[in-house]
Amino acid sequence: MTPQRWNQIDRIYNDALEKSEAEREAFLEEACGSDDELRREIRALLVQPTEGGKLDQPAWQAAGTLLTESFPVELKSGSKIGPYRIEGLLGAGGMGKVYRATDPRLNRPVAIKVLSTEVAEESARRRFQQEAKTASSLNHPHILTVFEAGEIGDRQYLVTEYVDAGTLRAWMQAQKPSWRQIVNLMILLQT
Amino acid sequence: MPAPEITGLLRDWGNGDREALNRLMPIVYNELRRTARNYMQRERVDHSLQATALVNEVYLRLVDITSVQWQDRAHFFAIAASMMRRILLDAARARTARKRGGGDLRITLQEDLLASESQAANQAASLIAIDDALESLSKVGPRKAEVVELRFFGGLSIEEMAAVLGISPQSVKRDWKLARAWLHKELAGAAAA
Repeated sequence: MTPQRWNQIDRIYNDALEKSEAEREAFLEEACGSDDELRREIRALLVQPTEGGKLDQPAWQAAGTLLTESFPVELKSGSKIGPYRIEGLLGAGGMGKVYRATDPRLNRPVAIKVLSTEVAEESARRRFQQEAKTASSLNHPHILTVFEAGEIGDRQYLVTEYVDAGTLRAWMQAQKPSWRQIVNLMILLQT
Repeated sequence: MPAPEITGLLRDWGNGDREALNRLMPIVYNELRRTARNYMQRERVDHSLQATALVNEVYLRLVDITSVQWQDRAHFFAIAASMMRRILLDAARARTARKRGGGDLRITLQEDLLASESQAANQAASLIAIDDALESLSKVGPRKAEVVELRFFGGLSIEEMAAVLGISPQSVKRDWKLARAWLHKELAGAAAA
C-alpha cells in the first residue's frame, strides 16, 4: 500500500466515523467516488468493533494466564494457608498448584490444591468449587478424601489426604506398564 | 546500574546515541520482568490494576526523577512498551515451541488444568497473531503501529501517548481508532484464512 493510499484511508475512515450510521453510505459514495476498492476497504474497517476488542485491555492483562505461567508464583515452605503449614510444592498446572502441607492440629500430612488468584474468571472459580463439592461427596478407597474446601481472601483451596504414591506420569515412566495394566487402572478409577 | 547513569543513557539515546539504547534495553527488560513477577506475587493482576502502574513503577525505580526531563520520560516509556512486547512474545513463543516439541505426553484427569492450559495456549496464539499484524501495520503506517505498541503493550493513556509521540491527543485518538480497526480486520482475515 502506498503512503498516499494509506492517508486517504485514514482521512475518509475517520470522517466517516463522525457521521451517523444513516449518513455513512452516502458519505462513502461521495468521498470514494468511482474507487470501489477504497470504498470496500473503508467499509470493512467501519464494521470492526470499536470497543471490547482484543486490543482494548493492556496485553499483560489479556495474556494474564500466559504471563502467570511464565512467572511461577509459589507459596514458600513454612508459609501458612489457614491452619495448614506449607511444606513444599508437589505439582503445578496452569490453574493452580498442589502443595504438601501439615495440619498442625492433628499433626498429619495433607495435600492442598490452591487455585491461582490470577485465574480471575468466574467460570474457573465455579469449576473449582464444583470439583470440591463433587470430591467431598465421594467416599471411595481409590479417591482422595477431601478434608476441607475453603477460601481465604480471594484464594480458594482444597485440602485432601496426602498419598505419597507418585504421579501417573512417574508410574508410566518407571513401570512401563502394559496396555492391560493401564486399562485395569482406568477401570479401577471408575468403579 | 545507578539511576543517574540510566538517566544519562536515556538522554544519550535521545541525542541519537544507538549504543545507549543497546545498553538500556536489557536493563529495562529485566526490571519489567521482575516487576511483573512481583505484581503476580502481590496478586494484583486484575482489573483494578492501573493500566500504567507496571511501567510507571519501573520508571520510578530506574530513573533519577530529580534530574529527568520530559523527553527522557517519553523515551523511557517507548522503550518500556517495546520491552513489554518482547517479554510477552518471548513467553508466547516459548510456549508454542514447547507444544510443538510434543515430547510432553500429558495425562491428566483434571479438567480444570486442561482448561487453563488451553487458555494460555489461546493467549499465546492470539499474541503472536497480534504481533504479526502489528508488524504489517508498521510497514504502512509506522506511527499508528507505534501508538498500538505504546497502548497495548505499554498500557499508556491517550494523553501519555500524545506526550511521548509529540502529537495532539486528538491525533492519537484518530491513529488509535484506525489502527485498531485495521488490526481487527487483519486478525479476522488471518483467522479465516
